Amino acid sequence: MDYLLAENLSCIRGSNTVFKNLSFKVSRGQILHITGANGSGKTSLLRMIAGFIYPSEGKIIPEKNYTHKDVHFVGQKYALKKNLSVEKNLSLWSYLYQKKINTDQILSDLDLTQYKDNDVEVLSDGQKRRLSIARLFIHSAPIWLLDEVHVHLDSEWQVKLNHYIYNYINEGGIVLISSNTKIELNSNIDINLTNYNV
Amino acid sequence: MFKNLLLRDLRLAYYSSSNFIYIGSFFILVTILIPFVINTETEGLKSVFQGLIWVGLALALLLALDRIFSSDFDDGNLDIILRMKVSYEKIYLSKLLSVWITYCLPIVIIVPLISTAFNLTINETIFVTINLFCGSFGMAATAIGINALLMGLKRMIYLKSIIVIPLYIPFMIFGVEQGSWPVLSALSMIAVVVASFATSYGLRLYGE
Repeated sequence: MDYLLAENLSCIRGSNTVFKNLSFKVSRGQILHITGANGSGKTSLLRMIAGFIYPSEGKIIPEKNYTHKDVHFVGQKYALKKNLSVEKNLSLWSYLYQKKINTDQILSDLDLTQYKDNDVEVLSDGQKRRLSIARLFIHSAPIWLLDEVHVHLDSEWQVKLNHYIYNYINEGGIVLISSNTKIELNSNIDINLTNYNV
Repeated sequence: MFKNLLLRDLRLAYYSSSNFIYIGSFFILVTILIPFVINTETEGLKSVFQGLIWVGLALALLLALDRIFSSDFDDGNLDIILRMKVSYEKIYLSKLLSVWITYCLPIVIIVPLISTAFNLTINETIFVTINLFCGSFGMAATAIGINALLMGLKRMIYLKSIIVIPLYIPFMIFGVEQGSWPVLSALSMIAVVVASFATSYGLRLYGE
């Protein structure tokens, strides 16, 4: 996938128009940074691109039914079973992503090795967030959709996450990332969704 | 894809408390407890047992109500499942099989083993087990369909139960009749088909 193009996207939730006439183009090796006030539609936009929500108006090109092979969507929910151990959670993901997971390697990279047998419930929010971004490394997809993934990470891990993102776009990936707070990320395109709110 | 989804659900059931041993123990306790509180003769015990089987199955499935789809919806795993290259119908079918294997199969296996304790003859045991086998698919499908439509309602197991229990009544009425497996099979087929539409609709609505 060489680019992702959005043409005149509108999002209506219930009777409320969240954003209107939003257009952008992100090419391979670029980062699109989405900002905006609470309720401005950052999550809705990412979920729309991931295919969970249909655009009320406009279209996303390429028009297709996006799967794991096309997009990695990491939302605000961690996708972790809190009553299961870290290792068991990774094993469940391996079925969903149909990939064998090198658990030890991933946990070592995320500095979570000592929590391998602990229930997710006992991890801090920052550790859960680190574990949730492990999904990005299970298999490759041409687009990363990251919804407020810096939240709960300490400054050291925010920098590490940014490095992962830079490495990914250097390999030709496309990243769309939303954030509510200031993050030190050198993006190519910035969109403030508040400007598109009605 | 379908196989992975099914294996994942079975693995999750195994990891969680809803594995075979728990469901089986729950069912045995329910069936054993009732004769203690109901003073009944041998023949009466027999008919109470035949009714209890269905109540036990319904209770086991009600326990599952807050787990089918709802837990994946709450923790975000449903996002991953829906991005797999698999149709809603296959997601439904994998859920149906995993729910049946996790919650119904242990009961179908246990019933013949404990039926002698309730003075059922071999013929009666065979009829009861066949009835249970045929009806349990429909009851599992009903639980899945309702849960798919209401998965966004957190901690609303009582509401879901109020909706599901009346739908179980036909299965229970025919379930206690010997030789009613063709009717139960027909009911199950209707429930499986209707629930597949309900599940697809619920999953489609999910993003909204």
